Amino acid sequence: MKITNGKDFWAGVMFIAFGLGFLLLAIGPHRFLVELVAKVFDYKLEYGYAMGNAVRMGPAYFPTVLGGILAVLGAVVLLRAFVSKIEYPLRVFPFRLWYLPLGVGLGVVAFYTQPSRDAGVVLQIGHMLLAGLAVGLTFAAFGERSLWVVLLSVVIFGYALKPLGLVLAVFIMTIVSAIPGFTWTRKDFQMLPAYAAIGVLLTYLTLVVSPPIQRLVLAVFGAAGLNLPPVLALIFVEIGLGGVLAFFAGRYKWPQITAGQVTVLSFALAVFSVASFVHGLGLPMNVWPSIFE
Amino acid sequence: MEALFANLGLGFSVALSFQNLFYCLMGVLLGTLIGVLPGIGPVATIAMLLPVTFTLNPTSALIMLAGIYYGAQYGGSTTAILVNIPGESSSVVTCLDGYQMARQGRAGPALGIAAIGSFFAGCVATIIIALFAPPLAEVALKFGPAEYFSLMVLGLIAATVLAHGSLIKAIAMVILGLLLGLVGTDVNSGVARFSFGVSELSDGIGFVSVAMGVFGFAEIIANLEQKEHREVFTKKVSNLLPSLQDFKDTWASILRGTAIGSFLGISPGGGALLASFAAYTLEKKVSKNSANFGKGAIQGVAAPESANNAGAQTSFIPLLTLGIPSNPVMALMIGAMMIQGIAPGPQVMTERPQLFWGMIASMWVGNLMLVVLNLPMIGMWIKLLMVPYRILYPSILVFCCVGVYSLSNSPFDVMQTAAFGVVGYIWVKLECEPAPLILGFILGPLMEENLRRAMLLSRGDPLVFFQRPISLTMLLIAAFLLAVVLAPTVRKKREEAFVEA
Repeated sequence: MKITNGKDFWAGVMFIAFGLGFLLLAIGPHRFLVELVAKVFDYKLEYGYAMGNAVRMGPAYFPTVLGGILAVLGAVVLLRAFVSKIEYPLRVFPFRLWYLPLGVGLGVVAFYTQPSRDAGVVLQIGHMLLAGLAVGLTFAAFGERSLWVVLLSVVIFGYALKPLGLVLAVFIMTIVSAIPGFTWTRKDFQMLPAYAAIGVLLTYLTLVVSPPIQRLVLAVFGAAGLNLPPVLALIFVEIGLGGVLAFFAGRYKWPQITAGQVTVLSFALAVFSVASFVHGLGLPMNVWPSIFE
Repeated sequence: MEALFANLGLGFSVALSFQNLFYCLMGVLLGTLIGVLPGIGPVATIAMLLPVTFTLNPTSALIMLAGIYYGAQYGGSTTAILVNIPGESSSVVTCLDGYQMARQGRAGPALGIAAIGSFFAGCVATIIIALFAPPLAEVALKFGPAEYFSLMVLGLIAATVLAHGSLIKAIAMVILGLLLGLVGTDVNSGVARFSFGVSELSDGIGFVSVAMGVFGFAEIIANLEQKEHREVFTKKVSNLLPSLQDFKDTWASILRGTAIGSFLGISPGGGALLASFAAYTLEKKVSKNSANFGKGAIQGVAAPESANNAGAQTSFIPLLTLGIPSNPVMALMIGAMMIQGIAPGPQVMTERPQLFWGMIASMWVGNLMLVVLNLPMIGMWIKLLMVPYRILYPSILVFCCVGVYSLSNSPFDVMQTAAFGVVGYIWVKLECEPAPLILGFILGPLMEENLRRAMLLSRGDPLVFFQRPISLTMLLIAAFLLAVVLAPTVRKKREEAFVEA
């Protein structure tokens, strides 16, 4: 027996794992497992819901049936991997094993060192970076660079938004997420502080300028008898700005653009979008880091 | 008939109000924009805009969201013809002949015929919705839990049959979707299922997170892996109006495309994507010009473009009458209706006629706007195409993240979306189609609820699904569909059809 279709093999494994997982959680895993989890993680795993009967189905009934079917289907897909005529290597993902225990280990550390709410900003940021690194390493264990870099930027954004404020969080996110699309040169890194300064200035201007523009647009539409929600007023302005940008973009020689310039460009675009959300929806988001306020 | 005109009159009075015209314009503008840009589709966009619609009134919100979907069909064809990249998944087949036409210097007529065909199809589809929705809603009012359950089974089976690739993987994805949909508090017993004690999970997994992660993030990552190579035909777009000969060649194709698109849009599991594939295949069989297909036949642009627009619009019929989504975009529309406190189903038409007919009328108005947006303003969209993807995607990402964050103002939703980004990427790699999963995810709780009710009413007798005629018919159709697909000859053809496209 030889596995011919690697994709089918992993798909089968995945379906069986999901199916059995739901099934076991629904009917309750073995008591030994529950006690083990309780001892090791100090966490009481909830398990086993009421099964009921066909007339009065309990919460476990439907998931049990579905989980069972899923596991069986997974087994069929798995078997097919051995007889499939389509050949595909077993290495569907570029797997790097040593990243995984490192990431999981850091994750466990991060879980137990969660700082309290009134801890200092430095501590919180440090913890955030640790958690981000843990998640990033776990992602990096399998998958291409674009996968883990993009998702790492998303995770960092999620953690950074509260302590760092919107502007810095967006800046970090655009820099990190722009990595897989470009080759960064040394000059780009040297210029980064300057770009950051330009970015913050742009943001400040956007945030100062956007409320009056918004009020103007609202007033114009209000005069025409249209009560526009503020957020749409800004999106409207934004589309106009995008049009202007696109117009100039048509004249620009794109291939020569450097990574640093791109970062500032997308940063400006992104901040403008974000400003619309914050002003329009009135979200309680920090715009600047909480130390300044 | 008189009632129809009265209803349409009501609809137009709603759709033509200044406010709704504005939202319709916003919707089709955004739709064209994301349709033109490769790498971001209507699912991710509508998911992104869901929080924004909180602040709108329900009619305007739905008009705008619907505009995004059919607007994307128009925009997608522009990219397909000029760059040979489908701006939108349903314009994959348009690439085949449209791009060849552009290479022969006939980009103008190709774009023109795509827009004209789409407009015609849009008009017909609007009329079809107005004609067919009311009687269907009346039938739906007689549905009991057993019928609903069978209908959902049929819908899900149809969705798997029509998905790309392996049938068994698609069915497994549906079941996985149903299971993921069950996470959260059980309505009957109040037990928080599969929540691992996480309080955020006891409300269930956020639909926006799943859709955004699987269709937004995973797509961006997959796009980044491919080296971009674009050859844009910008200088050669002139003379947008097709010649008289072109019209003579294509009027029958447009009609056929519209018919097949409308039909496939209504059927469960259908929508724009399937419609365009089917129309292209049919056209290749029927046309006298079939030898020329793939080498720049104008019929190969007209038919799928008409079909995807017709399919996009008629797929609203099952949503509006039965409350059952036929594709992921419709699943999001259900989400939007529920946010506004409207339970989707046959009662929408009687209880909120303004919403129902206003939305239908707005589709016609929106199509008119799209023709104006697309033909004279084509130069602007081409300019947009010149901006490389690697410059656009960081902004798209930021916008997605802030949208997700604003759902409940906590990092939890962002993490959840990132997690689904990982899972979605794995699915892409393993060739597991995510669209059936999304349908299952939305239908999971509904299906369990109806199964429970049906079994309670029948005192635990599972034969109830076979004793009621409507329910039996649906199950038979589902079984028939499965049997047909599993038949060896059809199976081979189906694989060929998807490979070819």
